[in-house]
Amino acid sequence: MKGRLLVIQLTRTGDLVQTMQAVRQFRAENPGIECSLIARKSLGSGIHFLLDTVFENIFYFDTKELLVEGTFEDGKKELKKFLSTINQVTYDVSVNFSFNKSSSYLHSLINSNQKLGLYRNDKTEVSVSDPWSQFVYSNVMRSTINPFNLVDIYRYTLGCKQVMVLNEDCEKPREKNIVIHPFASSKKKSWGATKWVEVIYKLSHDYSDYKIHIVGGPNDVSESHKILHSPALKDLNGRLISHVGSFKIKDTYSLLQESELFIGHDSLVSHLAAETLTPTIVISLGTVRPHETTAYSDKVVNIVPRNKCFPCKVEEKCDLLPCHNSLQHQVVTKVAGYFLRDSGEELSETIKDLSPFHTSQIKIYQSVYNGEGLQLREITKNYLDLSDTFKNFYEIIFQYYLRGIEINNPLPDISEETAKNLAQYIDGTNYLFELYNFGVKYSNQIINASDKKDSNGAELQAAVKKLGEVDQLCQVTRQTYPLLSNLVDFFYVNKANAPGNNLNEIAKSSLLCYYDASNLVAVLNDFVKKSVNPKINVAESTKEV
Amino acid sequence: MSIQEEIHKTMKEIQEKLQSSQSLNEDNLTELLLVALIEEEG
Repeated sequence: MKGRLLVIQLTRTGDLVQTMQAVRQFRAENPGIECSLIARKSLGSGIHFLLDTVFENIFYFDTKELLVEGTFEDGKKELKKFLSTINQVTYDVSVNFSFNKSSSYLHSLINSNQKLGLYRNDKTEVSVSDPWSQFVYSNVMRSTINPFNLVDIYRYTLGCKQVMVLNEDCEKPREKNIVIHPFASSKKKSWGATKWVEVIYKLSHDYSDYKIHIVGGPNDVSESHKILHSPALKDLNGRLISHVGSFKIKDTYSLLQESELFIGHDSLVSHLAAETLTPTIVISLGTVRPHETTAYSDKVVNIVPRNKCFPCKVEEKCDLLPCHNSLQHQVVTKVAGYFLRDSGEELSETIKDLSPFHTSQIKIYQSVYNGEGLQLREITKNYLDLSDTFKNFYEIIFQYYLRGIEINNPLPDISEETAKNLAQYIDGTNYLFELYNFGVKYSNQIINASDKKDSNGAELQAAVKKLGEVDQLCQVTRQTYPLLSNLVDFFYVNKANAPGNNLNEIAKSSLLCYYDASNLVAVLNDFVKKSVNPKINVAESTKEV
Repeated sequence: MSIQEEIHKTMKEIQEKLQSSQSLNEDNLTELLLVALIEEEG
């Protein structure tokens, strides 16, 4: 197959690595497609050595360089020059994976036959026409219970069917090195120097033949001093080596290739560890959503707090950081032993030695590839909470609806208290089912009225007004039952982007949206009932879906 | 004219165009892109 694909990724370097991992799988399934990338120079140039292995053409830009002459008009000229270089050819498909304002304008200026992801229409309104990008816009951007890994969402957007990942054969021989990246982009995500000193101290004593390398960027130098100058670590005799501020990304990549273990937060370095197939322990804190951003590798163990407020949102202020105290260094060093001792023991066996004091406040996830992508398997076997229960439901529903794939997940193992909370959602799904059926009814009324030769304006207006009310009531239901927001928001975005050039066509597209939404909410209702029933007796609702 | 003033003038022209239901051309979209890039990078 021949063709041209252009990918736009203007967000962070970690996102660029994830984009590259998805496009690499796309290329493996579709050899002969020429793949190009647009990225910011400041974010892409550090990993050019990786991007270069997947993309034939990489177009970098730098806003400061565009404005080097100091006027807006000159900046515009430079930008036009850059765009004309990209648009020398017409792309069969362009895809925007960045979901920010600038990328949406950039995307609308690209010559391509089909646009996937965010772009602007001729009225500069945001448009998202493909279903997986609608999923990202409605679920990933707004909710904390997206069940899919970002790399898989990118793969699904590109239409990938198989999971094709890097082979073990490309590995270099590994040395007795442990690489630690104890920094993160925000305070909420970073465990802090004291906790990391405890981890390093324990590792250095348990694995006395290993060197411990600390890596980080120039911004992490002062924080690294707190660790390196800690009195607890003064006797390590050259076994603790800092590369903070001195290593380039490529140097870190090379070090990871030669190392037996990486430990860090959810960051670029964890994605590099996945690229080098290095066994990895990720400590997810604050705003991190492990199911979404865990490094794409089946050698990752993710340690996650069970606090009700986790994961929080970027805009939420938190001074006490309670999730940081849920994790103890004993858990990290125990899991490190699972990788470094390589005894062939299952992780679930290894962590049995830990006291409930250390494990009751956390979840430990092990990453595995299933037929559809990367999945996080919970090892701690605690009861699922309400969010995880809905995550399971949405995984099944969206895999089936958007990809036609049937997933066989067992019914969630929940506590009686969770079952009571979940039971409330029986009413929520019933309300939503009724509302979506009203949507079907009024869409049909619009179609029938506008099909008539002497169409009645008043009849049309009344039906359109009713549809507006249906949408408003869906939003009210969403607020009362927040875990239904993934479904409500998806169909809101889906309907807002429904194709059609006139009222009749738009009503036909809306009819399909409401119809699909009512079917999916009926399935969700069934899942909720079946999960609740073994735990508690629920009085049957008066109206059955 | 400073870049800030140029951005302000450009955005005003684009808003007027949109309010009078005119479609935006490639030139306008390029301007909007540049403004968005400047905003995002502070």
